[in-house]
Amino acid sequence: MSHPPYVPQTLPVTSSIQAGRGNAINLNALLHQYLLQVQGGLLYPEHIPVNTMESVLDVGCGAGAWIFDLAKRNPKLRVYGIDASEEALQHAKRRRNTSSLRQIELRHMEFLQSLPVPDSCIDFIHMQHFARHLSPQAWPTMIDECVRVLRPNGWLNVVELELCEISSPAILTIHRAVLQARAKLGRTLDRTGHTLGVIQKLYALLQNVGLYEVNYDLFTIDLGVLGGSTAHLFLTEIVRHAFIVKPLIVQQGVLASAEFDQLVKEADVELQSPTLCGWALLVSAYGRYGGGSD
Amino acid sequence: MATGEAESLRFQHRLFFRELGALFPDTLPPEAISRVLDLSCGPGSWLIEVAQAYPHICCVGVDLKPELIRIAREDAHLSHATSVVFEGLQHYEQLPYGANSFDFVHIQRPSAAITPQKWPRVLREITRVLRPDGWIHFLDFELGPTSSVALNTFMRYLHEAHVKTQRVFSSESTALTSALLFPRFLKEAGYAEVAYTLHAVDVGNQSGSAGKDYILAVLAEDKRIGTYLVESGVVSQEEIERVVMTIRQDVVRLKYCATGMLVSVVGRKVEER
Repeated sequence: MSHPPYVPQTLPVTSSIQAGRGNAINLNALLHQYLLQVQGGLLYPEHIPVNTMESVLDVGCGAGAWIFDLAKRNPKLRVYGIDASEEALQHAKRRRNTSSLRQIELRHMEFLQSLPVPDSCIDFIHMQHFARHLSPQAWPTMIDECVRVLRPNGWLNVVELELCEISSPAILTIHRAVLQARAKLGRTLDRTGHTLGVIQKLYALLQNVGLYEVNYDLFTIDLGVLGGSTAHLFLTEIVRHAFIVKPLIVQQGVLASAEFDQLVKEADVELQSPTLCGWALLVSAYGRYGGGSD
Repeated sequence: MATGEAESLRFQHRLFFRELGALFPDTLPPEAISRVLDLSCGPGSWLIEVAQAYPHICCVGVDLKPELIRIAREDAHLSHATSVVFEGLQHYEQLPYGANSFDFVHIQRPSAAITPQKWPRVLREITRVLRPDGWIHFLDFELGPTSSVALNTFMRYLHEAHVKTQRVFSSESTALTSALLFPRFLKEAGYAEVAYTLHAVDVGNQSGSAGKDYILAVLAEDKRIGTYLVESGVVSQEEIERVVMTIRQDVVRLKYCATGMLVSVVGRKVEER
């Protein structure tokens, strides 16, 4: 499973969503730049000594925005990217082949299957916007897999974000509808359907599997008018994503189809409000695997 | 009772300003401010610090609770803050000050102090006592998400009760404060240069005990909040006692993780034509 919500063929023909429409891959590259900026330009927490490492694995690498940045900054590093989306991987492969970054290796992985990497060969696993796709039942398996491929004392970094508040009632309702539909299917950590429930649990999750030096960094994502055009894009992306899971929302009886369409129209207007205010939080949690050595 | 409240407000103040690092918004030089009104000043923590740091500023703090005003006066006396005056008021809809009396009006936790019904009249009154080109500053804190299911449940009950008693502006949002609506309200009231800043606050155990202490201080008043929740009919007495007990256990756990957002909103009053 990759993070990009891909652009469906039938988008609502409303101005801002239409304006924000484009190549999903480019969109993700933009969002990557945005989140990088939110994290003060850091690709991973400062505590992780990537300059002393040999190999890094990005689980759910999508079109590879993160791994290309990492490879560029660390020319000697071996960088593995894996994703469930063939389309995203093809894009990443084309980009690698036209670049000089031969240290990048891209592999396909079936969602929730074992990682296509041998035991104990990775120094650092990075997972961004991947945790949200995992059901509570899938977590232990995923973590076991990470621990299997990590070298002793290797690092695991899980990055997730959560939309917290937005002054647009329509966007909030749409976003919550997605969460409620997922909660009904048992696919979120927060069973109430109010939040994804991931960011506040990462810290405990990493500690529960026996990692040490567990820590997290917290970042603000300004989604209001002062957040600029990328904040706008981010919100458009939430609506776009909801549009993709609309069948699920309707099927689960969270919103009726017409109700949903009406909300999308309202969201479009509310997005233009000069006093739009809101935020998301980004948590980057990390820890080390002891590997039985201590 | 009010002493517990004063204590929790002091914790809150420490938490807020540890995060902000300054008493006034970055864009406003304190040198240019000479008269400050702190509306709903509580035990006066912010105002006393202002008086100590900027002796040239004449500080006025008002609150509806006489007990908090008494504590504020005591604290001011103990801190040798002489440029600060605290006054107990019956309500905020009529302030006992002349027009254009203040350069700066500070309101910490406005959502707690001013209910939606009272909002238009209170804002009009604040605008009256604020001089043209004077600044209004709201500072609010929205807790969450947290890793404690019990604490999240507690906040949801509180929101339900607020909706029932019409203490929140919006029922779509589960926010307990109206922080993110203040930019709009200020703009609608004719303020210029309306802006907000966001500060993510780690209130989990990773960043020390401040967050935990804050929650425990709020819960120390649980009888009052508990009574409010039970009386508004969102939860039974047994359930709220169970939830509060679980929160107390949750927040002292090593794995307890909690975040919140400190929202600061400013606006400048423009001269009426």
